[in-house]
Amino acid sequence: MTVRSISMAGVLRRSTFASLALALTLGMSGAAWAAHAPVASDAVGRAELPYVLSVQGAGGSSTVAVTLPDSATPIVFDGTVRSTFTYDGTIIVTINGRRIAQVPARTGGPVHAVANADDVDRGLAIIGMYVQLDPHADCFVDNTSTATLANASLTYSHPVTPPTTIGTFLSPGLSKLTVQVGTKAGEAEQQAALDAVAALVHLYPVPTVVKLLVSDTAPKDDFLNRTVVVQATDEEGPVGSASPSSTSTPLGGTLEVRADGALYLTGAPSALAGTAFALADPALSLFEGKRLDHVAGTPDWAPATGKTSLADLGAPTISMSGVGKLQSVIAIDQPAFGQSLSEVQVSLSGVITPLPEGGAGRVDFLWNGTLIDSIGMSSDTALNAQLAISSEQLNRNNQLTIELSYVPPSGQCTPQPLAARLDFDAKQSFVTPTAGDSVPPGFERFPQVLGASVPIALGSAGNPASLLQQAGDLIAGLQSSTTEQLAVNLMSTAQFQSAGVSGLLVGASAVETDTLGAPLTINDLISVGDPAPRFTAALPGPLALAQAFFNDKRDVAILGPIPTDALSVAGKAALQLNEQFANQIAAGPGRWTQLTGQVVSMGATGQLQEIALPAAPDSSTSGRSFLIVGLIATAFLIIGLVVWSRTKPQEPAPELPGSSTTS
Amino acid sequence: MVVLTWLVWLGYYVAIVSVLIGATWTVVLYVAGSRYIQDWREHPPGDESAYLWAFMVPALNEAVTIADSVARLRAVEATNKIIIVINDGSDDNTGEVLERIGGSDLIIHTRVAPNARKGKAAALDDAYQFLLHDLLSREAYHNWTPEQVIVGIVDADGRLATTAPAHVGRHFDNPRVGGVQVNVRIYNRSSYLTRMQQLEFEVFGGLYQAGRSRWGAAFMGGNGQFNRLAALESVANDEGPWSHYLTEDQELGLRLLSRGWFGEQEAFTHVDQQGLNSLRRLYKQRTRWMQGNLQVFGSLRRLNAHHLLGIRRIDALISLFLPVLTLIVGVAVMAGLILWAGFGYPFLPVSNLWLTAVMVLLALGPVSLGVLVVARGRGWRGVFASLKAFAPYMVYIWVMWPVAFLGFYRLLRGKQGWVKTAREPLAK
Repeated sequence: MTVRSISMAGVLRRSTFASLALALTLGMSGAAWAAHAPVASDAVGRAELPYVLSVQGAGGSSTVAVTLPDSATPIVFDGTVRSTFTYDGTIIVTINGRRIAQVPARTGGPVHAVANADDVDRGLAIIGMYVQLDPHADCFVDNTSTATLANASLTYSHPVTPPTTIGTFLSPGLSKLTVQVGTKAGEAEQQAALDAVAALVHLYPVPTVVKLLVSDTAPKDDFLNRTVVVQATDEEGPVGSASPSSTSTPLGGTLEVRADGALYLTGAPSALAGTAFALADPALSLFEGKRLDHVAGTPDWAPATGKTSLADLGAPTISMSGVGKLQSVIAIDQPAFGQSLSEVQVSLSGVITPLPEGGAGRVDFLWNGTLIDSIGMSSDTALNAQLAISSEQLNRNNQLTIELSYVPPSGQCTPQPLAARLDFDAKQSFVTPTAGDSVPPGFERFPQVLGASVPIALGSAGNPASLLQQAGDLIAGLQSSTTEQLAVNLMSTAQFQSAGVSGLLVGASAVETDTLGAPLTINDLISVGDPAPRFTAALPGPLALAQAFFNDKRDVAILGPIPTDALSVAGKAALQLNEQFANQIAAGPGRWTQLTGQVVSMGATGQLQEIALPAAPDSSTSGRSFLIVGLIATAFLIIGLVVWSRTKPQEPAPELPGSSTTS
Repeated sequence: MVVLTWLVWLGYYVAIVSVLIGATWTVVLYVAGSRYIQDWREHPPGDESAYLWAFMVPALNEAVTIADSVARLRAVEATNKIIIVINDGSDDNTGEVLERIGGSDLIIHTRVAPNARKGKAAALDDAYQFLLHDLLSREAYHNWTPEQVIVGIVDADGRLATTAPAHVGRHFDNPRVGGVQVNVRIYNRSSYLTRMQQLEFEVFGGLYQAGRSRWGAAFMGGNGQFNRLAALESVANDEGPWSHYLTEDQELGLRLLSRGWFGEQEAFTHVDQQGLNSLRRLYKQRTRWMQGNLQVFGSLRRLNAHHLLGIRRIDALISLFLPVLTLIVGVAVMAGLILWAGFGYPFLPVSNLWLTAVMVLLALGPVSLGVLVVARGRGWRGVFASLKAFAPYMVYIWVMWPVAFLGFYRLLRGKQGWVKTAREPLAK
């Protein structure tokens, strides 16, 4: 995120930035937090972990950061440790390094621990879990056993006072943010609203939910659920002096926290998108003012291009030390590169302790769980690995697991032997991508196939307001699957179809679905020429469908088809299901990544189900088979009819009527 | 699952082929019918005096209408004419009315129990035997050969056009012509239902019958039906030419075609009959007709005949198949509606505009051609009248659709008994 330097710098200079920053920093100190004891007027919130905490092996440890709202004070931590360990020991749970609970390693058990203000540092509570098995001679005991922290949540108290400044409004740890536009919003407002959704999802990680709402009613905010209202004003406002061109855009819109507690994003239509982009700027959370004018920004789009260090990819340290088996996992996701990749080269450069006489050890490299290389420990302390990942091995989201296995010279881990250590230099280890396609057509190609901008169109099936909300859901889901901030390009369906670019279509009608070449059309749903999976999917009743496919040299993801005869009972049900489906993509577990394959359906049960499509050759063969059989049958019918029409019976012919008479 | 898939495909195939056959054959008949009518428009009237016209009027409790019928038949311009009224065991005062209006040209053939009231076919067969073995042996008629005697069937509510013999006679100048059917019109066109029945008969006569006539393959239709006595003789069994089918006229037409006779439609004369104003009674009548059509469908083997070849045989086959096609298309439409209403599938393949256009054309085309028949010879005014009639007629067709299933249901249950359609008060 790069906030336009001219505008923001000027604004911040005008504000009391330095004093505010100082106050915020001090305010987050332990003393200040301790002083904020829960009072009767505070409300209680509950923060869930963004993902399930899990550890593996005897020395396994893992942490996860839970973001709490501004001024929140943790009260209690709850959860349940589920364990598959078979040896004695303990599994320990920590908050910010403070041990708060321990359970037997063999059985696991519930965790219920009192938390306090000291457990939070700058709004973050780091929940940790590690395993301590009793000393054992076998260095590899319970190497594959796991412990997970299930149903974990941190209960906290928080003030009920609505935010009064932009900084407090955009404080972290919120449950839900709603971007609201009016029902008569113009295209610029709709575009800005979608951009605001993307910006806020970029700013707020899971589990914060960001939704788009089309409504004219006044926003109803509370401390944990806040609303950003996007409104265009009539005036175009001052034009940036930096550009002499007459087509210069205004300097930016205005952000203002009003009395109702909502944040109003206003400005000239052409300025709204820039202001929406700026919402993702973390610097805004430092601004302790109600109003900020001329806010403009560009998307935080700085994907890794070319040879990129692991540090730049978000893996600042890769270090492990101990005996037995130790693991470190690095995520290498295609969206981080801003484009689809056909292959990657991983070059790791590190240092490892020399293998002592009589000891044994090796370093394994696993790509998505599959061993791709292994280097034995030796007296050499330099450890370099060159890993070539082919397109067949490359998914959208990938994990490189570095696994150090070490057995000391004694062959036993008791008494505690000298540990082995492996450090990779994240700044000197690189990933070199090659652009291209590796994953088959489908949801997994998104968002990387789109690049920085997401073309999106609202189809002709369904209520426009509802479709815009669903578009917001799709953008939210898509944004949550990438670390790069996306810009939205709202266009008409006709533009979308003729543009020939990859993108999204929400509320596709039967015609639009067919035109775009989706794998499943309304005709497919009622046709019987398709193999079982499609037909089965058609039987249960109303369905909501999401499809992602490659056709006409572009990747398209659509929500639909929606029956155009929406007035029918089934049509109404399908429209409702579509809204649920979109919401599931925006707020459900996994969000966009829960979409797999090319076609995912949601039935009345609300469960998502991938519809396996038959291989293309089979499909065409099947359709062709029916056609050929039909044509042959018709030909036989016609020939048979003609032959039969000219065939006389065996018995002698009677006299032709009228042949012996005269009139 | 594969078997199921193929079975459903078979269902689609059958439905599509049925629709295609129906639509295609309608176009063929329209073109053939237009040429046929054009040919006969320029054909001069025939010599009716070359024939003996024997009008048979089945009458069962027709006291309300019979006097009017006989009066109108007396007005028919035929040099040699016999009017045979078959009083089929009437228990109203039909007999008395007939006695009162009697004359030398009126022959009252009275049937009494237990032979009476055995159905229209039995009454006609009885009259046929009377004509053949009794009446024609009388001195006044014994010079007429069966080839020269034309038997005309006019229902008791029928009002035959006075010039009908001249128009019909020109067809019988061709010795291969065994039967001629005239247009049927509804005279009490006072309601939507009767107006639609009128349109329906116009479409039937002007489109289907006229088209078939191009190949001499027209069927007979009961009221306003004329048959050469020789033709009736050639297909008669011990009882007579008419069989005990619910649509005995259609079955007779099939046997005449099978024997090699030509059947033709006379488009320039008509018989008026009473339409039904009650939907309930109309349903009852049409269900009976449908059941009769399905009965005749069982006589497909008759098509395998020496003198019924080529397009005549194919046309006869399609004609017999039409009720079955109606059932198939009806089932397909219902399946489509259920899928649309209950499961959200589009009723039309809207994802493909071309395919949608073809489907709409297939669905509406035959009806459009049908109503266009009405416009023949009327210029632009006729076209506008056709357009005006299109929507109401479409509705009428759909309203009448259930009779296909009702008729089929009765056929399956083996129900044969039908009460004669009640007459409405006579319009003056």
